[in-house]
Amino acid sequence: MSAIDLNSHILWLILGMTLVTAWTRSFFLILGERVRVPAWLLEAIRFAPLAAMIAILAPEIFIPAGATSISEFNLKLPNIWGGIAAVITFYFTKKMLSTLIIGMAVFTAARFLL
Amino acid sequence: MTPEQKQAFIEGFKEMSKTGITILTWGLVTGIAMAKSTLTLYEALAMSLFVFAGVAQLASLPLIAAGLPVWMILVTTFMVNLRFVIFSLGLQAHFAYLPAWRRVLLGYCTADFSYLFFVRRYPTPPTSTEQKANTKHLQMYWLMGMQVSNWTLWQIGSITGIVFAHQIPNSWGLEFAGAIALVAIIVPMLDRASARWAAVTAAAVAIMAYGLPFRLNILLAIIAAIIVGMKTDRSPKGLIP
Repeated sequence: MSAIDLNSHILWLILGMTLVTAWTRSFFLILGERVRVPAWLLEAIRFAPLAAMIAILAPEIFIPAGATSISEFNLKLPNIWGGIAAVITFYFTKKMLSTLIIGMAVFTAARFLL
Repeated sequence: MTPEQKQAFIEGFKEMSKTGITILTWGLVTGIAMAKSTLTLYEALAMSLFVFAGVAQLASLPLIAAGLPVWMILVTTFMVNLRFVIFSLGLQAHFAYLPAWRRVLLGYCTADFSYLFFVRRYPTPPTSTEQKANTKHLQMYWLMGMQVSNWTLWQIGSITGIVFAHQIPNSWGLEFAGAIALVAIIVPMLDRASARWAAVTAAAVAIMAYGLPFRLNILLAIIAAIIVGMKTDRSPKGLIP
């Protein structure tokens, strides 16, 4: 990384990504009162935020870093043991910090032992 | 802001701050990834401050390194952000009445956690009478309080990661801390059978479909979880998992 070295190509990209993010996050909100979201649809998307978070999390735990598909799954993956330890710790303690510490400890131990 | 609006804002700020460690950890992991990519220091800072979309940022880094054209990376950003298009339906039901600039700004600032906590607290949109009585916009101020907390914590984590990335050895496996930090958000949401079925479905689909481009596995997981969640749901209508 060098000091001031702003590439105009990258700056356009960052501006573009900002606009695309604003656009996607306000996609239906932009339409204002012209649209009424039907009740059944609101009912259905209740599960969306939970599913999105799980979908971001699950591959981090069950698929090795850099892998491209499930075929590289194996039980020697330290992430799986760290993940299980984190879920158990959080279930019993309800504390974020202890979950992080124990999860990372088991993950690190598994990396060296398995 | 009136005292009531200020109160709502502060409550929202506090609500999001309870999740502070998770946001800081994800920010840190994303910041480190940006610093270790082909971006320069100032480019990484600019991306952090403006784009404010962690998964999209992480998805863009290898494409930038590979020298892909800008438009292809923007298409990827759109695809990776598709879950927010679904979330915007939920926001639309609450905030369609606001002026256009406010809707866009409110949407842009509503990332995963803000949306999640918002719909958990306000599962059903206001009726038209409630809408007319809603002259103080307290829901909006509550959401804004969460957004300000989320943005600030995210930037602290991310900028720390960018600046100190090269002092943190790869061997620590710090990326995994982001995953663990999410556990603490997800586990409390699994309090009902339908939520647990939806979660198991989402996990299985997200893993099976991991090979798809554009992180489309996230979108597929959401669709599958909605179908399974609805089928297994026996709770009174309108409850948010």
